[in-house]
Amino acid sequence: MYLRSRGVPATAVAVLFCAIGLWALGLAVDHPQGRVLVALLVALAATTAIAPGLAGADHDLDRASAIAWPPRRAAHVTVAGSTVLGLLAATAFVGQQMAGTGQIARNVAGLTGLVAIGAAILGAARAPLVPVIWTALVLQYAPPMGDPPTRPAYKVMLTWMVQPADARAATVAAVVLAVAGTVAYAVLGSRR
Amino acid sequence: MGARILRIELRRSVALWAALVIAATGVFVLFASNEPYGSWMQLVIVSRDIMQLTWPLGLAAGAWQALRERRSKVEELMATTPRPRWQRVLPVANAMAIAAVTAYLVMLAGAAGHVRHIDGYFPLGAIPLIALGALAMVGAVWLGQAVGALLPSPLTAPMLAVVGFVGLAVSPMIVAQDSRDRGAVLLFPYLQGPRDGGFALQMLSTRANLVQALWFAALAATGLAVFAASRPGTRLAALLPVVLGAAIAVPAMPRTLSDAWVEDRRATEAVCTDDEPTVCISRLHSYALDSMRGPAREALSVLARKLPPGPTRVLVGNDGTPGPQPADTLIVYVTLIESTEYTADTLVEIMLDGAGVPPCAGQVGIDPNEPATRELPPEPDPRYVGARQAVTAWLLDRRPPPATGAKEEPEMALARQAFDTLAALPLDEQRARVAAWRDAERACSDGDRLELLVGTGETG
Repeated sequence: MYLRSRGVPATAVAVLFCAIGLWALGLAVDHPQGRVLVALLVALAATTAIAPGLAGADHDLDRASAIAWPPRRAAHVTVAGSTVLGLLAATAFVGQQMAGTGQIARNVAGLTGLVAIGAAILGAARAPLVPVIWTALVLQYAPPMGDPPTRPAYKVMLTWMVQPADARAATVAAVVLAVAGTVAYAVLGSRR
Repeated sequence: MGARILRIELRRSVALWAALVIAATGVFVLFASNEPYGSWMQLVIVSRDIMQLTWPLGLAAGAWQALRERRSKVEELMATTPRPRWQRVLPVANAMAIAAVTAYLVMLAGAAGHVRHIDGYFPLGAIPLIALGALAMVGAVWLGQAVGALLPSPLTAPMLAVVGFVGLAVSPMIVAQDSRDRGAVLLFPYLQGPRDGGFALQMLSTRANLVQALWFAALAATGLAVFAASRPGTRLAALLPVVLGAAIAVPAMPRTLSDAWVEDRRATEAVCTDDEPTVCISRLHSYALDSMRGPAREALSVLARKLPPGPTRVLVGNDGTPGPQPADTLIVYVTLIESTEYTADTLVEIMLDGAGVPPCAGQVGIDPNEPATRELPPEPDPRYVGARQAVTAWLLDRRPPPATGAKEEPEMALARQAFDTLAALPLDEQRARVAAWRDAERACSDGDRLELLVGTGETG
């Protein structure tokens, strides 16, 4: 019932569609850089899909209930992120691989963190704004067809989602975002 | 009544915020992703190109707006009002359209600070590009509202944004896989600049502009109609504009993208100073006219003193190939590299290069005025280049400096040698030899140029 109340069926369908889309686009797009880009954008779509579920139907009712929300919220974000990751990674085994699993994992983790931060600051419904804008800016700044910047470290961290899988600073940035997002959301909950 | 509702909708709906977010994102990208723009046209084209980003954002903003009543849980209440749906939604659609246009214009105005020469040439061809960009943004929000009305889910807006990115960012890759440049890319809301990258001197042909206007208007009309329709039948009928638009736009489309870009003749026209000496420069670079005047005067006076009869006007060419040169005109090919500051001294030097005669084709290696080609140009002849440099040095009364590095270019040694030989001669003889050299250079005749300067048999 908790899952139903958080709109999980719709989210699950959306994520599933994303996974299928990833697989289909994997067959259609040959360009290597394009494949990484598609993988990133599909990860973005799938993670934003979990945003609406981060708030209950009635904010005041949730507050009033005697449930220990923080652990539950943390679990919610973590499970949602892992599910997205699992589904997207599964496509890699079904069809040709779009991007390294490590890269997908990093991007999903970071983007989930961003969604959680967005939910804590802007409210669950507006949460996708944060990862979408960030990704969009990065894609325009570091052109999708070109190579991402390799130095200095802060640029690598700012463009973490388009970095290759072995860029340490990018991984750090994604992990920091994931942890910060989970903690912020667990403590604060969704803004109404 | 309508105006009051519109005002309220502008203030209370997501319109203002959407405009802010889109404009801010656009300005950031316009600033961050490029060097300062060399011309207005480049900024306008790039601002259309980044609609890969702003267009999906507009789509998402529209979808977000369309869900307002559901979010506030008054959807059913609103549906029971006797006022027809289209009357109810028209003000908010207008508010969103105003927001979209404002966002686009604010973005352009904000990015104007990133244009290198803000008083530079503003081509007329940029105006339809801007208008079409704004129209496409209106189409984006209305289509977004239509989709939001059809699929009222909190997931719709973010999904639309991402699907929009995927569609617009990945589609060029699929289109680009064709080696031909398809005209069909003009159907996309973003605009690809000319293939050869000559942003400043080109504009979109009238036909391409009209086709795009028709297509974008059809898209926007369909978006609005679907959003305002309340019954499935009317929604189906609302698809009519886009079908009609496609039926007209697709056959009328220019075959290729390069067909769609035409030369902007006004940009290459020469504008001249009123006073003496006459200095002319292409309109595109007219901002540089003031800085050219002093060096031009100096260069002309040097030529008149040392090599009469001297030319009387300076034509600063930047683009295009050297043509035949009238004797009274000093044609200077200054490649105004945007990021370089030219001092007056450098400009005089450039103007006096080879006594103001453009080098003959294929003699100096890479020609900066020619578009870069794949095959390497023929190796420059050191004797030819050396002679040119000797003449320039002679005009400037400045001995070519000896080598500072370990390795000296052969033409520099030749130039210094020729300069010394020339300087040792009587003045009349010097002048006669350089004049002979200039005649040969103007005619691009065959024969050794260095010999003309230093005399036969003396070069060794």
